[in-house]
Amino acid sequence: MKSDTAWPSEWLRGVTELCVLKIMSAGPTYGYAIASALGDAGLGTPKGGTLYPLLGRFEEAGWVTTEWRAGDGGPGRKFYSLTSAGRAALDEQLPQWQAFTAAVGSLLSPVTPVAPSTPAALTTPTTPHPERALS
Amino acid sequence: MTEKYSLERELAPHVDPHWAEWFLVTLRLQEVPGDRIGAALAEVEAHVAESGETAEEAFGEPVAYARSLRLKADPIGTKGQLLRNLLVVPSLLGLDLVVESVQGLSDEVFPVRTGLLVTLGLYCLILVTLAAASRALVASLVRRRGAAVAVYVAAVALLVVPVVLWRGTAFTLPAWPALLAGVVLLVAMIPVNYRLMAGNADPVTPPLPSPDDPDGSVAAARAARSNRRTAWAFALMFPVVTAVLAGLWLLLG
Repeated sequence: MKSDTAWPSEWLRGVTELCVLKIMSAGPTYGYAIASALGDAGLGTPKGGTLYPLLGRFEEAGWVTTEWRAGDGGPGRKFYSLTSAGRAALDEQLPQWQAFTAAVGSLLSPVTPVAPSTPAALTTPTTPHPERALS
Repeated sequence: MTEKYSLERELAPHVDPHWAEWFLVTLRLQEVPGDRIGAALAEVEAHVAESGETAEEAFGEPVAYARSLRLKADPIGTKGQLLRNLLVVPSLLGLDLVVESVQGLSDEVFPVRTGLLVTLGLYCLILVTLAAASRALVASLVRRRGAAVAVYVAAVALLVVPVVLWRGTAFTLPAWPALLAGVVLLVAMIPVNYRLMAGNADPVTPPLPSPDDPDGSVAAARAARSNRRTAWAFALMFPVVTAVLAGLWLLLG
């Protein structure tokens, strides 16, 4: 998936927080690196105006600690590190999201089209029976 | 003379200075402490320097972005700050003494107005009550911003209203001693007001020292100079305004 894919903003709003927590679980990182990681993952690069207020809310909630480090020949960077409270939030939200996407995936997954006029066909399994397939 | 945008260019050289100015002004108006403002601007600077975008492209309109950060304001209305604010009143009294006694020089009398006496009494009462009140009580009174502003406006109104309402003369004093007392009060309050303003300085500072100034001494010296200028301007404002008003009266009155 390309990083410039424009997903519906409603979808991103629901999942950006969890994705940022997941990115930060790999170790201390800074705003632009988080934005790039989201872009590389195919979610689109968020605007600074979306990302930094979110990071500020994490800081306010005690999910991250911050530290300024000198940049490599450029401006200093503010590094964010997940706290135990941040990891707990990630551990809580991750299985919830996975259950949610599984439910959505199950509902939206393609099914084999069947003829509505043959009721028996409705009970036919969509995957071929192993024995019948062999015969 | 400070060059326009010098602060913005120093703190965030990759950010459009006009954008940075509005960002700084918005956070200043929200009474966010200077170090937090400096850190927020430094994060914008780091992002635009690395992404190559303009601040407008990456963060949108500066006022909206500054508000979206929801940075905590300085806790206003603390006991010490309220006391410091009320210490401005003696300078106003000095101004009143000088201007009114200059007006009374021809009759050689200084009319002490009833309202002024009431105001002085209330002022002493507020100062004593505030000094005696516990920090926790004052903090609970002014915890919410709206309540803090309301308390402060009410206190100022309480002091101003008697002067306006009761213009009658309670008694008179000789004009020259009153004039002298006013001048002494104004002069005595100059160092007090200077310290008042210098102590309230909260410059916008970067989270890390610049490579050109690793120990931050140059930036600290510049901030101190700017702070001294502001403090002197504030401290001398009352004597200057008094002199102008008294001079106008003598010239035109």
